[in-house]
Amino acid sequence: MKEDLSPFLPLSPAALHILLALAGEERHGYGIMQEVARQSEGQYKLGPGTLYDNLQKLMNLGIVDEVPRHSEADDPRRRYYQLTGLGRRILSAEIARLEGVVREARMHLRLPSPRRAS
Amino acid sequence: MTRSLYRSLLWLHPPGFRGQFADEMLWIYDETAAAGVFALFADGLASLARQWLMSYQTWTLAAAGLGGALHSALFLLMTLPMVQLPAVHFVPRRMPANVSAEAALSGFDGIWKGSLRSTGPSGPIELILARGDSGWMGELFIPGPDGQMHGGPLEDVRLQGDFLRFRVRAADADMVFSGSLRYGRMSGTLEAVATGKYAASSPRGRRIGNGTWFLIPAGTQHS
Repeated sequence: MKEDLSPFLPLSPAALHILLALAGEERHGYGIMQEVARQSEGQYKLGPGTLYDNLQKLMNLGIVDEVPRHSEADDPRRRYYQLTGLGRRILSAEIARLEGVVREARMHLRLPSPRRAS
Repeated sequence: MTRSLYRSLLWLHPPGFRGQFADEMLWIYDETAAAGVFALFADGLASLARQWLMSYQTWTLAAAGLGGALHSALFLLMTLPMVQLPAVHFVPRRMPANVSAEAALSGFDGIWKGSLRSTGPSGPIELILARGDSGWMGELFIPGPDGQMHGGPLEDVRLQGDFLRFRVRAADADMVFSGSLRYGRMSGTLEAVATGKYAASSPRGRRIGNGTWFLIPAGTQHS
């Protein structure tokens, strides 16, 4: 039976960026902020308040989970977060949804489709 | 000076959020303040408003003023080092059998399984919740220092809408679980305050640990 993820979608821009930042590896909060800035080439800057508001919601929904510290030498204030299986499926569903939006937009605006690398 | 202001701003956040994230937010402040603090304060104020207005019921806003005063009084305590939660020593107890039929309509009743991550006990947890003639009751099983699961009765169980809160007593600490039920899954935060010999060396009610937990109905597959 196909899982219905529609209650979780669409993701807010902040939630989408956080999930994208965690898609590759687990990160601490500051690491998420840096990764979001890198991925968006500095266009989207996430403050700590916005970050943790969203992390709290995502953790309560079981989309993001906290993981133990990497080593005892780590700053004890650092806490690491990772995507759960549910979070990964939601991110995939959101990407598919956004692809549909982009496809539709290209069609209506008569924009050429991006060339695929051969 | 600005760091103290930012720290005060964090202390005005709701206790659950503050306990979970304030230390890390302050660390990020330390890492990024050199690049300018205006955006950090604007973001912190926006977060403060969102947390009180959206995450909590409106009535808690009235408590914010009182809470702010209490937070200021407790401000110095934040500088004290955290200590580990004491070992868990529960007395095994059986669930009462007289559970009302209407409890099945609430969504909370039943057997729940999940995990707990805290500065004290961590690992798998199990919660049994049921509504009897005298209100909600149940039992929480968490891992003890011997690696075995230990059960303790729930006290002061409060359910309002999707929100759940209950207390479980260990030998030297009271653990308060707060959370909510969303999409058939419960999750939230844990705060532990010292009692007994731990309280003797610090002001009674001092927070000594925190953590997060989630639960899904027993028998549900979840990856």
